[in-house]
Amino acid sequence: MKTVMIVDDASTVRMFHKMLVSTPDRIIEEAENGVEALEKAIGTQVDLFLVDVNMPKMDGYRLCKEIRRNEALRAVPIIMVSTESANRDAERAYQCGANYYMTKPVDADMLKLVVSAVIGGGSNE
Amino acid sequence: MGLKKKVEPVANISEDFEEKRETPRTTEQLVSELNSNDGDVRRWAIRDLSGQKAACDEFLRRLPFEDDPTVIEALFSALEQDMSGRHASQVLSLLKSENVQLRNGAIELMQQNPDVFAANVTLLMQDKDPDTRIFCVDIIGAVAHIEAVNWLHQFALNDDNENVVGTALDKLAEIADVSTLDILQTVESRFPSHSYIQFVISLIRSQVRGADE
Repeated sequence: MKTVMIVDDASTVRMFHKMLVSTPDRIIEEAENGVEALEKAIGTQVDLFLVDVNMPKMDGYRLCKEIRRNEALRAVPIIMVSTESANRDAERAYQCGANYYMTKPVDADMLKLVVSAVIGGGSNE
Repeated sequence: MGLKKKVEPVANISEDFEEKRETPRTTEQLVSELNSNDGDVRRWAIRDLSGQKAACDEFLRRLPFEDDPTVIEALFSALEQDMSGRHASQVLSLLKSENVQLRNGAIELMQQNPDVFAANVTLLMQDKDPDTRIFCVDIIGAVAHIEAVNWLHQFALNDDNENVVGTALDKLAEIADVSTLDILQTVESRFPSHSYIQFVISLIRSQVRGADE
């Protein structure tokens, strides 16, 4: 089983992303912001973070940096999803440690493909 | 270009300041201390300046340049007490900041001042920057105002940016009422191939109908 942590302050976005990436061989964890994500991730086996950029308390960029600083989490892949499409935002995401950067609205098929490419599995059947 | 290292240790500045603080300081001195290199001095200046006539203007002048998170927090706490409608445009300009703490602070200030926010919402709705409009929607989602649902309807019906509309629908999923059902078909037809918007619209429909039963 692989664990995907979806981090977004909008519960509807979390539900949508959960619907897209859920498969029988994946556990989905959710967090409303970076602080909650880190609290939940420490002591849990997380295989992928799917992270929004703009969030209260701790935004996605800072969360990325914290994950990369944390010995137990630093190797976990991060997909950042943002409404900000400017190149500088993608650059900033990569500089903070993201592995992939996708702009909202996410292409549902592309998100499924990227998640499967990163952690394997992905059959919704 | 290299920066010159401070010759005087920070601890000495703070000790000197503690002595100085025992004597009353004029408003001008306090304003000047808001720009001190020492974060402790800036925090005390905020505390001692708070409540004075020019305080809000000075706090808002300082905020865009402040980089110490604890001082930013102190500035926003002080503004919470003293802010008025006159300061709205300066607070709202922080929504465009690259600093997340400044943006979130501005959002929270507006949430705590619903009438000030209401007086400026039309301006924000017309802002050219979709990110600023998204922050406006975020404020609406948390502000306790009788017009909140109506403002979200306007965003969903009229905004051209799909992310702004998506965020407005996120918030409607939390606070929608029966009147929202009337606009959903129009919004649905504006973004027929947008899977997220279609998803949230179905969610809102089932929530409102569920709550109505």
